[in-house]
Amino acid sequence: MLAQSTPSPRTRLLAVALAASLSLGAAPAQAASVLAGAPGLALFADAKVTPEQAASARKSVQERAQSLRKAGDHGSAAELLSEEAAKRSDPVLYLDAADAYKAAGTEDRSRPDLETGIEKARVGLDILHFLQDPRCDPEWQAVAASKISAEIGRGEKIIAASEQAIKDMDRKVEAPAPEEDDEKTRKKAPKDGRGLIAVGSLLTVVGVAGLGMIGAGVALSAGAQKDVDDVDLTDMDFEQQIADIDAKGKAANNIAYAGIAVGAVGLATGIALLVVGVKKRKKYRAEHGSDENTARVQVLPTAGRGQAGLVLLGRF
Amino acid sequence: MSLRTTIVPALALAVLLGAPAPAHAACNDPSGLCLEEVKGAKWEPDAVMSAKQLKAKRKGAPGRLTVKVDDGRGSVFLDGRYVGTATLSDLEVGPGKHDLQVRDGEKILAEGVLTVPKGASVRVNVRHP
Repeated sequence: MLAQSTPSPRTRLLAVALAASLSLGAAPAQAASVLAGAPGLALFADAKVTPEQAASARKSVQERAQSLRKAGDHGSAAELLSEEAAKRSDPVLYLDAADAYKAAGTEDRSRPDLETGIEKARVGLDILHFLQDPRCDPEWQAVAASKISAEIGRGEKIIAASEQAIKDMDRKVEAPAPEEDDEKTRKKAPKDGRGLIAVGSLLTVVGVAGLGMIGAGVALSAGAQKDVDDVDLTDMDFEQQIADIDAKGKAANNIAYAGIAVGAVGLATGIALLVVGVKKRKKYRAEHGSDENTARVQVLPTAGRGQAGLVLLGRF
Repeated sequence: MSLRTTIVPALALAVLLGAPAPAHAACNDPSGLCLEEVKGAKWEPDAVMSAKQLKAKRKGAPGRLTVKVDDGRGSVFLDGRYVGTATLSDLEVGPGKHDLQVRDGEKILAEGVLTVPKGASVRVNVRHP
C-alpha cells in the first residue's frame, strides 16, 4: 500500500529533508569528532618541526590575538588561537587559546567558554607531556625541552583558574540574593536632612532650657537680694541668716551662669543644624519630590488651665 | 495522497541513516585498549617501533582508524605526533604498523603498536581509569 502511493515532489522533498535532519541530529558526537580529527592530517606532512620554527610560526598568530585581546575581544582571540593551534598541533597556542577563553568566560560569565578553555589547556598539556615521552618523533619538537616544564605550569594554572571561575559562578547562581540586604536598603532613611533637623531641634530645646536656667537663676538671685535687704540687723542670728541667703544667691548665680553656657551652645549649634537640615530637606524634596516620610518640625501654641506656651513637634 | 504515506518511510530512512554505530563494550583489557575484531588488525601493547620502521614507506590502500575513550578524554598520538583528541573518527592512516599512544595529561591510557590492514576500518576503544 505504501509502495503504491505516489507522493508529490513537494512532499518528497519534505520527507528527504526530514530524514536528513533527523539523521544529522542523531550523530552530533560523530560529526564533532571528525572535525576534532582534522589535526591528524598534519601527520602525513611529516615535516620537520623545530622549536625555533614553531616559535617563529606562532609569533604572528600571537600578535594578532594580542591586538584582539587589547581591544577587549577575548572571544575572537580565543577562536583564532584555537584554530591555529589545531592547524599546527602547537601546545603553546593551545594554552594561549585556553587563556583567552578563560578571559572571555570570566568577562561574559560564560561557563561554556570556561569549559572550552579547560579542554584546550588539557590538549596543550597532553602534547607537552608527550613531547617528553620517548615515543615522540624527534623531528617533531614544537617546544624546546627547557621550556616544557614552564608551559606545563602555565597550563595547570589556567585550568585551576578556569575551574575556580566556574565554581564561583555556580556559587553565585546557587545563593539567592540576600533579602535582608534588600530590606535594609528599603528601610534606610533617605538623606533628606532629617538627622540634622532632629539633632538641631534637640539642641535648640536644650538651648531654650538654658535660657530657662538663666531666668531661674536671675529670679532666685533677685529673691536672695530681696531677702538680704529684708534681714533685720537687730536679730541675734542675722549673720547666720545673711550667710544662708548668700549661699542661696551664689547657687542662683551658678544656675544663671550654667544657663548662659548651655543656652549659648545649645541655641547656636541647634539653630545652625536646623538651618542646614532644613536646607538639605528642601534640596532633597526638589530632587525627589515631597514625601510623607520626610522630616517635619512644627511649633504649635498650647494653652491650658493656668498654663500657656509653645509645643515643638518633630517627626524625623 | 496523505502526508502520512511519505512521513512514515521518511522516518524509517531517518532511523536507518541516523542509527548510531553499535556501541563498543566497555574495555576491560589490562593494556587499556580493546581492538574491534578486524581481519589482519593487531594490537601489541607496550611494543615499540624502530625509527626505520616508522619511516618506512607504506604501500596499499589507506585504512581508517577510529579511537574512542570510555568515560573520559584523551589525546591520540600516532607515530610520534599528535593527531587529535578522542573521539577520533575515521582518521585516514597508511596500512601497516603504527606507534600509538593515548594519554590524558601525564597519564598514559594505552600505548603500543597497532597494525592496520590495507583498506580496513579499525576501531579501538580505550579505557579511562
